[in-house]
Amino acid sequence: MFVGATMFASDRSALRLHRYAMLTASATFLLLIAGGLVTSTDSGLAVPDWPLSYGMLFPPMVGGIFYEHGHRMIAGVVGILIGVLAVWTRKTEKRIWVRRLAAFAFAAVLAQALLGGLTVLLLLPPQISIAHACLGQTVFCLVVGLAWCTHPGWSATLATARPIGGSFFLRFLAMAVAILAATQLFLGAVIRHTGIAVVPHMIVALCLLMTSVICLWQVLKRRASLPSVPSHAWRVVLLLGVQLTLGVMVFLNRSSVGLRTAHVAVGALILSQAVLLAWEVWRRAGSPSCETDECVSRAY
Amino acid sequence: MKRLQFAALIGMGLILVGAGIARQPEAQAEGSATIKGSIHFSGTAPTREPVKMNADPVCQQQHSSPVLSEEAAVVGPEGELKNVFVHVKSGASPAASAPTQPVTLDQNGCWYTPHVFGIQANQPLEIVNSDATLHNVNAKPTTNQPFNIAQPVKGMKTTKKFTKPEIMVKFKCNVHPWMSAYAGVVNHPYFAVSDEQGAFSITGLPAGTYELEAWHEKFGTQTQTLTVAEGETKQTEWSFRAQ
Repeated sequence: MFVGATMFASDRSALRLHRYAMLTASATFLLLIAGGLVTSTDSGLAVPDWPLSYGMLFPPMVGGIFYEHGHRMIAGVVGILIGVLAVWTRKTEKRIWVRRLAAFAFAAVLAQALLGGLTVLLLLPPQISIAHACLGQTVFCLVVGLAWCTHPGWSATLATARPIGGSFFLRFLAMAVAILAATQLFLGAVIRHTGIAVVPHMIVALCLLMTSVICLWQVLKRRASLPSVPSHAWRVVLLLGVQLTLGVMVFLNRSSVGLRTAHVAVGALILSQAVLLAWEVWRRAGSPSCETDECVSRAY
Repeated sequence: MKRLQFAALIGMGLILVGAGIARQPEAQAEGSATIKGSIHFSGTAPTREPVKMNADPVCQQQHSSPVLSEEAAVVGPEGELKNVFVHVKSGASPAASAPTQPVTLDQNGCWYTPHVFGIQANQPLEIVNSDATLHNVNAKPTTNQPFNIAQPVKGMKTTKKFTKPEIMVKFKCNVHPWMSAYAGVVNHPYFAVSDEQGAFSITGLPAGTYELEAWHEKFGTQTQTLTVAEGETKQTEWSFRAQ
């Protein structure tokens, strides 16, 4: 559809924006890993001051400073990337809700930076550290969502949407998967910053796995009406398999920095895929087909 | 004349009150009893692992041979247990005032010296960075005010105080995660830390009955109650096992 000379200039511009959003999402994922490393190595207070580090922009990257200051530097780059994404979207994107979503992502990353500073200056109070962890995941989901909806072919998919049987149940299931995935990340952050809530984390993990499998089954039953949705459902289930394995390994070897950080990173991927799954099911399974430009520009 | 008598009376009163206040520390004068102790570990001592200091070349260069972790336990050949903080838990009167002489916690060779120490509430704690690298000093009390300070320059000194008794306050360097130290904060001078022979000595106790507590970072706490007379020296034996 978007190959070579057949592309319109606006399509090429949209594709550039989409690719930039993908780059930003990748950088945000890297930032999440860097943040996970800070907690896993207990380096959160290796740099006592903020926004400078030991009064410097670039302190020697030794010991825990490597993780904490490295996290700050990546966060700075991601903040700029999201800021540019918000400006770019504002200038080129016709859909007002996409522009608002990008502006919200930028506001969220700024709030995230402030929470990061606060948690250092207040010596890692669990409430603020947990909020910092959860908002980080939210920022990642927002940027992934932006990368998803800025795909030049995204709006066109609505024209093929058809009402399907049992859509209420499917929408409920997909939403439940996203909410359970978010709950899991919250409980994971509670464990990482307080050491409690391990049992609820395990129970919700099983609920999430069961709901995701049922959701996949329901999506596969309607795959003719829901093109591309099964791939999201498959990704959620497969990532959950990896995540459960990692979770057991972390439980057996709690001091492993690599395993703990991988558990955080895969959790972020699950949440983002669960959000995309719920979003896609919501917009495709329940919406009437959208054939006018006005309808497409308004539709989520 | 009456005014003069009244002023003289007030003046004498003030002198008497002042003298009383000045004498107050003498009322809590140190005694002459001593409690000595020998602390042993029974069982298989935990292995002291060599500390990997390669995260910071400055730290690594300061040690020609591997440094063994003090966090597990320092146990001598006959089971002598080092780094046990022993203090009078109950029976001693609080000191009228804290010493003005600071206790020093030195960061030397990317290592806290001492690893375990005692300090009185409101006594100055001088934290020194003797290393040519950056340290953060993350004090993690639960009763006192926690702090996390930066000491990026060699020779840097920071003075802090803990205002309330607390057993124990942990210190940690998050730059060099192998660095940790513990302070026992008490409101009297009757405390000691066991040495490499597992020995300690608490001197200057007034005659009385005391409850002693011994704390080890891995093996927990133990208590003993004993009575000492003025001028008496009492020997105590302590035995820790792995928990």
